[in-house]
Amino acid sequence: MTAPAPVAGRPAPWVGRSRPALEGHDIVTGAITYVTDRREEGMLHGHVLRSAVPHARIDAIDVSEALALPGVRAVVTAADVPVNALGPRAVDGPALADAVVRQVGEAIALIAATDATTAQRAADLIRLELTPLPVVDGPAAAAAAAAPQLHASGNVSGNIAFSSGDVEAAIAGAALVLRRSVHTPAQEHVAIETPGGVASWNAEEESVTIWCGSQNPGLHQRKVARALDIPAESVRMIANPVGGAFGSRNDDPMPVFLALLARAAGAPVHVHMTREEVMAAGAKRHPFWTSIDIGFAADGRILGSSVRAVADTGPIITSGPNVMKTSAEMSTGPYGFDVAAFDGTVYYTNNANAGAFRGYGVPQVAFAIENAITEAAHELGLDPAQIRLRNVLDRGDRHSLYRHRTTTSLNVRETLRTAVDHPLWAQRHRWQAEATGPWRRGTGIAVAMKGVGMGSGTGDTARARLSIDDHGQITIWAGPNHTGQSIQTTYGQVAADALGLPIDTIDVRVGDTGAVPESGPTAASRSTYAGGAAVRAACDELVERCRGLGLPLATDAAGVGTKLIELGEAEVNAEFRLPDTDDIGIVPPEQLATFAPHRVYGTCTQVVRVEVNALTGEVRVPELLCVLDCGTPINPAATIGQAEGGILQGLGLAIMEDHRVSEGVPRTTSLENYLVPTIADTPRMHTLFVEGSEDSGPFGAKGMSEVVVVPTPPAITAAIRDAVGVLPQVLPVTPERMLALIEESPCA
Amino acid sequence: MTPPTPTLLRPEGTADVSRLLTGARAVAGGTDLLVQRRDGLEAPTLVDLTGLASTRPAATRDPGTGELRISAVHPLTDVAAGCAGAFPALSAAIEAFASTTIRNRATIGGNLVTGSPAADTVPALLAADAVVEIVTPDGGRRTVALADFLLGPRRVDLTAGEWVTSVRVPRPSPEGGFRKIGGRRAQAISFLNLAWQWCREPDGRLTDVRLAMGAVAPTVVRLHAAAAALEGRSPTPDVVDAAVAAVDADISPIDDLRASAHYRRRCAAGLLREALLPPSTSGGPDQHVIPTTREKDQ
Ligand SMILES: Cc1cc2nc3c(=O)[nH]c(=O)nc-3n(C[C@H](O)[C@H](O)[C@H](O)COP(=O)(O)OP(=O)(O)OC[C@H]3O[C@@H](n4cnc5c(N)ncnc54)[C@H](O)[C@@H]3O)c2cc1C
Repeated sequence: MTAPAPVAGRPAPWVGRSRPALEGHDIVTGAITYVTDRREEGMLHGHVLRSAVPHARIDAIDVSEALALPGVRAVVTAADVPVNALGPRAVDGPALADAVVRQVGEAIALIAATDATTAQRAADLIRLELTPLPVVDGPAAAAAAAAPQLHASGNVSGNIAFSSGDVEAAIAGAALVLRRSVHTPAQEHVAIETPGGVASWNAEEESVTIWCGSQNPGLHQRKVARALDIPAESVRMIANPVGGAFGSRNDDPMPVFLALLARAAGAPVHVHMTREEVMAAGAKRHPFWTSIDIGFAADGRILGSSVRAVADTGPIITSGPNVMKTSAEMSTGPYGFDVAAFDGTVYYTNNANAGAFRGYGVPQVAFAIENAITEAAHELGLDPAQIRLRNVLDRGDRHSLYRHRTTTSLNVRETLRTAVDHPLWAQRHRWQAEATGPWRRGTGIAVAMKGVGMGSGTGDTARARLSIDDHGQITIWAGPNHTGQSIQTTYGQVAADALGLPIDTIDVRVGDTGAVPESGPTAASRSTYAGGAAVRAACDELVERCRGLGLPLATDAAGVGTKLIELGEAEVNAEFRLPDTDDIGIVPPEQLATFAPHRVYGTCTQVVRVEVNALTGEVRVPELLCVLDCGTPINPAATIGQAEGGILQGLGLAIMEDHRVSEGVPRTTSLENYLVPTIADTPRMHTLFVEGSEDSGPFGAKGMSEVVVVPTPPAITAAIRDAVGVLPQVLPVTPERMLALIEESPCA
Repeated sequence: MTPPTPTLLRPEGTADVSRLLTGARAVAGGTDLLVQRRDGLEAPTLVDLTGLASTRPAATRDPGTGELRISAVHPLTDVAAGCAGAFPALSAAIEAFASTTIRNRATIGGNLVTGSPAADTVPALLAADAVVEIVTPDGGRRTVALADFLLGPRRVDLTAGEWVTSVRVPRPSPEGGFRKIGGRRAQAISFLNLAWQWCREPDGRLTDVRLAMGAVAPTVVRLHAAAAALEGRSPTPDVVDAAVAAVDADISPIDDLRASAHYRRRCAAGLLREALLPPSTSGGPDQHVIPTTREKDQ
């Protein structure tokens, strides 16, 4: 890794040194007040009445009995919402269902009462007259000619297609052509803190303050302002501390519900969803049906690949087409070849709404391409690591689909080389030979790449504000927000090194629209990279200002602060605009934002060991290696934490997580029947960093927190292939699916 | 929606329980009851049996007959310790049960009375011909064979005011075990499970073979046909094949969210085959051979 070397006379650098999360002590002692722990004087308790059916016309809603219940202070339905919309387009969906409900769990009414039980009882007293409508239970049903149309614009939520040439011609003479289809399920985020928080309405000012988790406080501020029909400046979002996000706090309507209730009740209102509500109503990872046609030369080189994907976004658009945009870009994996094509369609259905989820469309398509490469290695008699090394993109290479220029920090090859040299890979044959009883052993490898930031043409920008006081104390307001990863700890490290000041003189604040300049979402693996770069820019500007004025910041911060205040120069505003690719390749310039190819990518190779029970189909994962190309790991322990958490989400997707819906009704309704990995399912994990530095990032850092999810499922299926000779194409690989594959396999 | 807070009654001693149980419901670890209350079960008054644990041992063994008497109100962790290796199938079942935190609360009484076909302590007890000891409302005792106690899903032979005080197990075999298949490796309801016990004669023959399987029928069931195929024989490949083929006769699995009937049948066969593998090759725990490099990375 590239930790800066110590400089004589300066404090030891913080960048590259593990620093515990600033709030870590408060978390483990329980002292922290999460947004849902917040209690206000005179606070009421809210409840959301949700649809129990997947699709119905709302003929009438009668709230009179609910309103008459003693203790009830407000009931809000669609008719009471000034602008009943979660976004500018009809397909963004209403805040509260008006004419129709389109999903089990869709919000119909909000109730505020003196206690939660009364609010719940009031919900039971709301009379709904519903006429059931036919259920669109998946993409096939949505595409059918006679399908009920869920939106005026139809059932297609979006399509993205691009091609860099004639794939069939390119693979016509290939030594091996694979045509395969894979399926990846809907996945639930399972953030430990379920959505909720508190809102407080100021009747005089007609303004609202909302304490509620958000990955994009600025966007939520605008959503609330739209729904309440008040200026954005009248909405203050205070969006942490919050217990996890993983994408689920991107599309979450909870801040809007809180604000509507607080305004209607004229008092602070608290809402905290149950896990069962989240299981039904919360956005999921998009389930995908992905097909790949890919051709290889005899030496393993990829000659061309065409990927088609179908995704189910549920009843409203949320992140659907944007997710598919990322799938398109990553449908060629971290590989360089001449001809590629992608065609992906997102459908509206009456299933669970899908939205942003760590990896954002990449795990789904990566599973198709990595599985194909695993199979090709076996078919062509090549080593699975070598076939990948033969195809990976190198620094600055052109992307296979869009032909745009990638960053020179791209270091996929080194992650593969490092993985191959590790004993987990090197000793795989010996480990396999030591298997006993019905437990067969195998080792798998997979590689992934994921863009950092929103992509070229999107104007993606993060900002920071800094001020120094007369004690030499620095305060920095920066975004993206903290959603569990303790980004403020990392920003502090960047600032300490950039300013050359002791870290405990720097206070970093995030997630408050009242103070933090608009910085975009905690998403797209951009927080350390973009937010860190904005912090760095603010710090550099202060240092530069001091140098220009001849002020000794490093040795007399208090004196310098006093002087700068006198001069009216004690505050700095800076921004970092994420650089577009140098060369957009064959993407039409006017469509740059449509495809939004990236310049900067994080990459990752994983090696995983699995044991498969040939008699029962159980799969266990004892050990896993993750090699990361993330530039400089600013806070290595936090980076490893991100890697390990991401791996577990990938492992869950691979072998157990499956949010099941049939006929529009969720069947996995709680954490009893929706299984996520426990500590007993957790492999021993090794995370290594390869040497590297991204020029545009703060101290050479780039993003990594999504790419770590991506290789885990295909590495696990590759390991299963190595263990028992069959390659699963459908996730999760439950014991049932595994046993069926073993028993159907000709070599069983 | 969670019903209103119940009244919790704590009996002074065993004699007190029957009086308090009138119109009330027993609670031990609460690991089933509290979940059921959340799902709408009405239980306004609860009688907490956990205090009784301090008045007696978790398990006692009759030195003469070898019979084990296991308390129905002790946490499973204490039961495993109390059995001290005398009942390997039950100890293995407890080890595979939920997680440490749940095992520190959950009891055998609760596991039996809940009446789940997937209950993990039941196969070992049923295979061992356990007898359930019940205290009747008048303070008297009655016993019922576990096989007769289990009536169907969520139905057991226990009437209002009765409670389970202990389980008697005639000398369990020294060789026995338990395996469960779940969707993950802790905190998982069994897709199916198997308990076995037998004696291995010096010539390798298995005698006194008892097998019981869960989540493959309305109650946990004995695999009588498979046991008969093994009884008095060495587990040679032919004998194992015959026993495995006989499993189907005693089970009637259904499709549910967790697994299909077809999988349950296939896996039931697989589980018995695995149990019959020579003891040294059955797999064992994961092995980690690579020292972690994590510390070095930081
Ligand atoms: C997270 C979690 C994981 C779990 N994992 C497993 C698992 O792996 N395997 C498994 O089998 N189960 C599992 N369970 C279910 C549960 O833990 C067991 O069934 C446990 O044995 C119940 O015991 P308890 O003492 O907690 O029962 P309680 O919840 O106290 O009682 C359950 C029922 O039995 C009655 N009852 C309790 N004791 C007596 C008594 N002595 N006499 C008469 N009636 C009585 C109660 O009235 C109630 O109806 C799990 C539960 C949870 C919450």
